[in-house]
Amino acid sequence: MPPSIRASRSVRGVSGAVGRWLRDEPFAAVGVAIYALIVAMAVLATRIAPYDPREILRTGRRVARYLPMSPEHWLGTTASGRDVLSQLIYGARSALEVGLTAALAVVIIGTVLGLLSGYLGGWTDRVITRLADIVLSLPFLPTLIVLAALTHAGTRVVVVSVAILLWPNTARVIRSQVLSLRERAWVEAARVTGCSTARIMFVHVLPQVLPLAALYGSVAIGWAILAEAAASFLGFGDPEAVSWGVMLQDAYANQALGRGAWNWFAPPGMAIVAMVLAGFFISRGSEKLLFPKLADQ
Amino acid sequence: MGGVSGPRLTPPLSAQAGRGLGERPVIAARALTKTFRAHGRAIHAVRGVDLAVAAGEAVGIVGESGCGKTTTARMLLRLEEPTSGAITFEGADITHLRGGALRRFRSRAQLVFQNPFDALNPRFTILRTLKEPLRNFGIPAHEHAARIDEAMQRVRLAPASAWLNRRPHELSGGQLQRVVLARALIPHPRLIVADEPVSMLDVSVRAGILNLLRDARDALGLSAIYISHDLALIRYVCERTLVMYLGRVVEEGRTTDIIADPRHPYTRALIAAVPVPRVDQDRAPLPIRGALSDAPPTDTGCAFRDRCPEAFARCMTEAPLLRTIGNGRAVACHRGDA
Amino acid sequence: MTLLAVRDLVVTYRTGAGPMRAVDGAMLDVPAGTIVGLVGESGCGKSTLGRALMGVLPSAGQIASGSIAFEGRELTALPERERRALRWRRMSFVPQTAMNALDPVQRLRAQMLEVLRARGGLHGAAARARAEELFRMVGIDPARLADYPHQFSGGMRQRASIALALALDPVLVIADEPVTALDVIVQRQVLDLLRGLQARLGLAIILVTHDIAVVAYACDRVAVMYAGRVVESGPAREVLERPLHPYTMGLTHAFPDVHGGDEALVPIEGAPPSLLHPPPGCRFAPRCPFAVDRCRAEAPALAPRGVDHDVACWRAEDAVALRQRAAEPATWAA
Repeated sequence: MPPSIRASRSVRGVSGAVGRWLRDEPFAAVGVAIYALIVAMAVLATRIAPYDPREILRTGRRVARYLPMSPEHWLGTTASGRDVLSQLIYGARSALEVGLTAALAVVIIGTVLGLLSGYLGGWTDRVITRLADIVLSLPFLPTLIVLAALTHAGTRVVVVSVAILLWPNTARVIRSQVLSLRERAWVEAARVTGCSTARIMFVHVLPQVLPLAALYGSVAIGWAILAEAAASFLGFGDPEAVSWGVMLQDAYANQALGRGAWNWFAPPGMAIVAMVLAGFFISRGSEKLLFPKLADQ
Repeated sequence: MGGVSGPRLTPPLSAQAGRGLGERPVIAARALTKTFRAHGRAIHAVRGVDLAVAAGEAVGIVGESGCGKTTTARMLLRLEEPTSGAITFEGADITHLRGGALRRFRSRAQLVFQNPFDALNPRFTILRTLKEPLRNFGIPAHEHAARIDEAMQRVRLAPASAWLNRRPHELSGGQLQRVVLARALIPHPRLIVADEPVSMLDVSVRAGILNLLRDARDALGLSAIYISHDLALIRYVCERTLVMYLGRVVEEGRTTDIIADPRHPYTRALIAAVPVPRVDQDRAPLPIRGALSDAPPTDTGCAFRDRCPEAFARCMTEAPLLRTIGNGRAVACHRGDA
Repeated sequence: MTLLAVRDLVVTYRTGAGPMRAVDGAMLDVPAGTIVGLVGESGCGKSTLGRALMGVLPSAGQIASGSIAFEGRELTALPERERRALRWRRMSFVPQTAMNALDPVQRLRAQMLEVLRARGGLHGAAARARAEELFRMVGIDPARLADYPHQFSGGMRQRASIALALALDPVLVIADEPVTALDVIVQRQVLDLLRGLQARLGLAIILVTHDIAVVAYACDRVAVMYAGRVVESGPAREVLERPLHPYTMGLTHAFPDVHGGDEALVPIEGAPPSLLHPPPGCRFAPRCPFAVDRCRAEAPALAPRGVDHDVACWRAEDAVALRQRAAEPATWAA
């Protein structure tokens, strides 16, 4: 490719690249839209939720249980007379909280271990890769349940478990990326100009792999929410929390399915599925953005 | 921007200092050896190379790909661990330096890279790239601006302010190589190693970079080691030359002497093969047989024997040693020995 | 006899920033049985021109206008099917990296036989004999037809890739930087091979290169390209010894000569222009020490000056004087 084209391409900048990416990759656009919607729900929960999600509503003196969809309760009410829509909206908060902290943990652990493993090589690499292999061989849900059962119930356990179980995926891709970056002349130039190993890894190499790490983080968000839902559903979650998983568990315990109360259990289920899908859509659509050379060939 | 240097008819006298005049060399290596292991096989990249570079001297290492010239240079810069042998820099053993001592050595010995398009961190501005050595080598912050100005002036990217906020992709190959050179000069090194410094550049800008390297060396009294497969380039920038073949130095001496009167059959073939930009030239077949990969990794006998048009019985059984033949020259060949 | 005549050829590439004229009005004559060097720096359009002649442009590229006459036929008007019939049989291609011509997972014999069968209709013993003959012709032991490409050295791969190109006895071979990736000794051997084949087979060869020295060693004629145009052409001796274009003059002083004197090399300052927005007038004018107002306003066309020597320069009449000034480093110092 002639140099003039190469130059003009990179001049256009990151925001332009992201814009074109969303236009060219409808999957990714859908994923980003779902995340945006959920973030909006979480941020604006106090303003848009019609009721307090924990408030037990009454009609007259009776608890307003099992109300169907209506203009007052768009998604009806639960067995204990709580507004489903409000729970769904507030649920976005805990979903994001769990998702983001877990994703952050996954990204940090995975990136640091991937960097160390790829750049240092030798026994560091062998130890980390072996550890990753072991963790990857653990079945996700059973391990989560064991961890949750061993410790105390609560969302923190979920976050920690997700971080422990998902870092190897991130570490693996970061490692392979670092292995190829390590051979670049500018990394050698950093050595020649006196950079310490830590400085080469964290100042020179790390910024190059961060986009990739962020991508794996976006997948981890989905997994974390799924894990939280599963743990809550199985009764290892925090029963006091307002979350989609707890909503499902509540619905299940009250035989919502048998009662045909779709309005109760379908929305949180769909929200979970949508959020997990969003992560996968984004990762699927990002290959071109992250590996433009791959797409060019 | 000039990039022009005047004719230099006589190389600096220091050219003779590398051997035997008693002056301490800037960098010296003894019996430098590197063996790579791959798939259970040992690859002898460098086999016992001796060399010394005097203050202000430029030494070329010439040979075909796979001859070990790049590995030798990388060992000298401590970018590759020698399998055996010793390296001294300004009289001190640096073979196994680590940590702060290694960093101090790095500030004195710098590298100019082959591919300028890959030698600069693509995310860093030129300013940030040039600040890395200043910061890492502990140069006080108040000197940074002056050092950067000085280096950019030296590589004729002036005024510096016009370039410092750009990123590598905004520069042409020649401009990038100037920045690479500026980065190498910024810590005020005593030794510059340049590995094929112009082979990735457009032909019309190569001469400019070579002249910059020559001028910088003359002005700063630097020692230099040039690695190249191109003897014409080596002749332009180096007073003394080492010819390497399969990991060994086979001939050594003043560049002009070697070119005028090559003593090793391999050097003769190498010189005959160098492309000459003139229509009238010798087109006789090269005095060499086969190709590099056909040569066996022999441990007895001369490594060049199978390609040598002059090989005789002794070459099959006994490896020739590099021996001095006077006038600062050395050759590893049994011919002329008898 | 002119085998190939290119007139005003324009090749454009679609890019994100609009169409780019990689070749912009190129003129080239290749007489039968001669080696023509197509010399220029990266991005000057020499490789694109070579590919356009072969009809193997990348998908973003197309011939926008101009003509390519080959053995009296107009190639730009030819349907792709007939074009394909010419490839390999009448004209063939040797890429820079031999690995691009060779299939890494097939023995060389299978690759040779495939070409001889599919393109040349040669079968059985005749095809095998031809494959062995081709290997001998390029100086490789025919026994090594049983090898895979990775078992060959770089030079041998390039020889094998030349053998493949010669399989069907073409009259023209376009070699794109065939020796650039090779070490000097191997480079010289491959150039000797090409010269030998030219003499023995009466082959015409277009040798695309950035190296004036390769042209000086191996070529009968030369066309110098700059920023998409041929700026000077003629017999190699004439062009290299008495260059008429300032760019050619600059190039002849920019290369070190292993047997030369002690004179300093003279760089050409600046860089070639962007082909997306080329300067008006002569494209070399921004770097030319001899440019006058006319050069910056009006593009000179390639025109004959002297016997069999063409140049595109407004100041060609002063060439003798300019040549002397071009030898002075001070002339080129901006």
